[in-house]
Amino acid sequence: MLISCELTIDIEQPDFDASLVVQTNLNNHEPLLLFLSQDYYILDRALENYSDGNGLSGADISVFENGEFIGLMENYPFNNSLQGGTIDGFYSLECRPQSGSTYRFEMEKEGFTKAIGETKIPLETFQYEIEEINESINEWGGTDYRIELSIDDPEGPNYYEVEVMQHTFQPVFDDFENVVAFLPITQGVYIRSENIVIPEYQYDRLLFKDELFDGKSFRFNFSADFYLENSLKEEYGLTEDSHVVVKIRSCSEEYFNYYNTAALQNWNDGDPLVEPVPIFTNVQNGFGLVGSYFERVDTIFTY
Amino acid sequence: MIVIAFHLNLTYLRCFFLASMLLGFLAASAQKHTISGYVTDASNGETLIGATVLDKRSGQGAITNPFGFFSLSLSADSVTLSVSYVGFQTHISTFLLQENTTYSVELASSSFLKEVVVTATEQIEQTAQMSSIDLDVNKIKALPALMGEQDVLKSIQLLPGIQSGTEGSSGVYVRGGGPDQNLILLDGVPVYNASHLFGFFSVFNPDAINKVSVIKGGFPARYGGRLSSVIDISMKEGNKKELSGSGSIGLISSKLTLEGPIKNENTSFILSGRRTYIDLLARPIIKAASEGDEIAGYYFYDFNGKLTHRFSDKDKVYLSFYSGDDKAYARSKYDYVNEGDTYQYVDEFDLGWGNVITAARWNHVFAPKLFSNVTATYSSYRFRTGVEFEETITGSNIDETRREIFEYRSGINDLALKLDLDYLPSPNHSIKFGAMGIRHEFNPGVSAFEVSQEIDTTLGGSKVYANEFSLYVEDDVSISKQLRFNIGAHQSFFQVNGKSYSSFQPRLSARLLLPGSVALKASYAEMTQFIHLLTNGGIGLPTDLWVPATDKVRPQESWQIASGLAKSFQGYEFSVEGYYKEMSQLIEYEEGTSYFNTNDQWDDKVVSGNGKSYGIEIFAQKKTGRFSGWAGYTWSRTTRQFDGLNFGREFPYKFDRRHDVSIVGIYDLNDKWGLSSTWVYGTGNAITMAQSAYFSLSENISRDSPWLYFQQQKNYGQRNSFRMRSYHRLDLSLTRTKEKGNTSRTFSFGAYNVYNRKNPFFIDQSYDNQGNRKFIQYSLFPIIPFVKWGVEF
Repeated sequence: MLISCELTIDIEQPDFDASLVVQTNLNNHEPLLLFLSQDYYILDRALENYSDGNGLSGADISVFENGEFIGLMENYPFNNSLQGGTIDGFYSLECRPQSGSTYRFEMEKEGFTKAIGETKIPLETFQYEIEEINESINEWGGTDYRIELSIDDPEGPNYYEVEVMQHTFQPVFDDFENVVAFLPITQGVYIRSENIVIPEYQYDRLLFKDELFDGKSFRFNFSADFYLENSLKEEYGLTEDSHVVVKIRSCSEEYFNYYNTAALQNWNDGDPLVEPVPIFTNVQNGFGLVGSYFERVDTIFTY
Repeated sequence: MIVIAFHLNLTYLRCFFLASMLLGFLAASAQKHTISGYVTDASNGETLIGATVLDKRSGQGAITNPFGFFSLSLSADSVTLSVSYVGFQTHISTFLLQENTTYSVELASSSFLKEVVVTATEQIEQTAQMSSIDLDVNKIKALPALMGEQDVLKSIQLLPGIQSGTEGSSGVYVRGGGPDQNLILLDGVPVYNASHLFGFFSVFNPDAINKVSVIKGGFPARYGGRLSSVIDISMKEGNKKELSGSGSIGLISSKLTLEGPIKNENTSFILSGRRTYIDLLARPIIKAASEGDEIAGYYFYDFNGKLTHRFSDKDKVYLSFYSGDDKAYARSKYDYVNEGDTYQYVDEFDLGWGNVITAARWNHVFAPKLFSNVTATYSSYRFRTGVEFEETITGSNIDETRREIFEYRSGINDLALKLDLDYLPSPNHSIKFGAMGIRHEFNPGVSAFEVSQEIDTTLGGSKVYANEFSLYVEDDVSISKQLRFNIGAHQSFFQVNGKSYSSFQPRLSARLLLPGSVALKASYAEMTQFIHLLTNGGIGLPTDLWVPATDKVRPQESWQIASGLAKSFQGYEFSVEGYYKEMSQLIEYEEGTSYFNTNDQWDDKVVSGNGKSYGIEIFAQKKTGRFSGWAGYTWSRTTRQFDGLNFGREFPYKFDRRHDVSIVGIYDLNDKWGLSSTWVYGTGNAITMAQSAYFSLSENISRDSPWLYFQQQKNYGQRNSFRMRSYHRLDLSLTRTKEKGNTSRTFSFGAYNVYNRKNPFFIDQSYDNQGNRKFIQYSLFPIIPFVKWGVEF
């Protein structure tokens, strides 16, 4: 009976024209970097290969700062240390974005309609302080760190992202279990909000808007779950310090909308009881994000 | 423009209404006498609702109300009273009317006429009411049905302007409204979840039902509380003449109904029960296959009962009761012995939902022109699901049990009191007015988790209590033979958690009789609904949750205008209607949210928005003769717009259906054989499907990133922008009836989806036999034959 109820069908789709897909997050720490790819018809087998993102090289990408042309982006050979090799589709321009400035990207590639995206780097106006860090033993015997931030939120809609990262090392052993090197590693730390409800996003980040505390000072509490590994220095003789850092970003609206909707789509993929989530884009004639943030980084532990 | 005019001229509307009331009282003061009484079926004493009582000399008439009562005020003179009801012999008597007279009539069935599929006992062009259809339950029972299980709500889906949801579902979508916007009344009591078996069957057992009325627009003021339709179902009162009954055995269920008088004709009862037995048939098979370690099953039952007592011509009391439950369950156990210790594991799962409905009604005739009905009701819907795991270890040194229980409950309970009064000052004028109060108790989802009595956690919303009050008055008045109005107003109030809402809802229906007895009708209605249904996919799952309007989520509101032409002649009836409806404060789950996110308050998970629907409905029916049936066609367009969905852009409603066709035919070949058939066609449902996909980086791009991880993101385009294939299906049924003495036996067989159309249920991506990525469409029901045996005695 089940087999009799299954039918392979051809969907009458209008002729599919691929569009350009852009992803860039401008910020105050780094020169411009952009990833360019394309979308594929949903039944295209190219979608089965996840490894390199199917980036597009050879595109002309013009960059405008506050309406003035500042240069063409160049192919950037991005080395993927996890899988080895260079990944196509990255472009860079040696220009450090300025807070409050607007950047427009015009992307042209043969066979595609020209795509345009624009973002404004958030102003450097938000203030915050790390007020308090408390340690407690959680129900699994690990250590929880409860961190309280005080955010002075400027009036108007503002968007924030908090991320905690651990920069440490991994010992490399020889055949005789002697440490021969230390490999630097960076890993995200699992964090969760303690005093405001924030939708699921990524395990090491909290993304929220200021609708509950617009224009006011707000104490934001969150918990972080990480382990300060002392044996690296004591047992293996590591001489360099490891760090736990908190990154606090004031994000552009499009950054907030894109990552929120993308996370929601991923989170609910395959759930028949949930309506599919469309992903926000601010790219004309294409998909993806031209977003930005202003970031501050604080080291909260050195060990 | 018409609507704006109404809004601006609300004051004038009120003045007009008061003036028409005054006219009524003035008319009442003329020197007339009143004939009042009841019209019933001579064979069993059952009330005939909507029978016509007509004085042939003056041409004045009246229609019996839902309790079979009529009142007709005429000048003191000789009257020739004709009492008629489709399918019954007309009763005519002549007498001199000199004083107020009580006149009750029993009509004899005209079995040889074999009349009527759909009855509109008052000719369609006579009444001001539009967008309304009455269904004869006997004919509902004659239609072919899924697995032979005739269903009231699925028969309603065959009418124009009323659509089914997904395949097989008993959900009803009226003029672009949602499934929660239908006021489904069983003997005047709202039914909150009208579905069995995840929506494949409705809770109404046709054997216990007398009449079904559906109103899609031009709502009379006596109805309120829902936006899109009123489905008013009246239970039988029970045979007052003799003990009788009926029963049937079908593929999935059996039914038994008993009815009869108690002591004398003044008291009658009806008891009707139905139960499925898939679980009983499958249990030994499952048990044998699992060597006794597993039990699983599903069943539903419902039970209807009604007691009617007539104290006098002036007083009648009705007690009615309904209880129905669905239950799915599974239990498995597993044990083993290790080093002398016995380990036993037991898993249990159960899922259940059901309604309990009770009503006590008292009819009292204060005066021949004033009829009253007082109704006290209780309606309860509850849903529960639970999972239990138990581990027991027993041995020489150990005796330990660990238990984990998860339970989820939700529901709604209503207590209501209602007073309805019919004042009938003249044949051209009837006034209905009344009041109602409801005490709602909402239980919007509670999860409980328990581990070996050590942790006992309860999550989710707490109970919410709300009060709803309403007042109404409506006036049906004939200004002339050509012009007739039904004008009224419904005022309602709602209180919840310290928040109050009130709503004034004007209603107007008008009929202008054109030359050739063609009726031109128009109506305007505003409706307010203080409760919402949280539903995933709108497919009528028992998990759907009724919730009240709150300070965050406002009541739903709508206004609708409709206009059309109607004409009947020689047993045929035709109507064409156009309508335009706007709805506001509708709710939907936020994108990416579902019922299963139980940690949040429900009103944090929803967004509100607006809806719009317009269309044209064409309806033609043949009411008499051996062949009867109807054909309905609807062209409609329905959209939604939510600021929080689809980036604020308007999108088609899931059940936006451009074309909808239903053709129903019932043919009595001879006294023994009957053939019935339905064919339906509908534009495919609107769904959201990915059109393309791309890869994106899950992390912020940085030159320092040690590695990159790409994830696939889908481009869904606009919400509900894709259309599934169209839906069409033919059902057939052949019935043989054999009568012997007072007993009638029927044997029916037929098939659902006769030509085995693979209608779309959902679409998924998969691979074909060559390994190419393809869309695969899944259907629910192929051709499904049925067979059924029934008896009436």
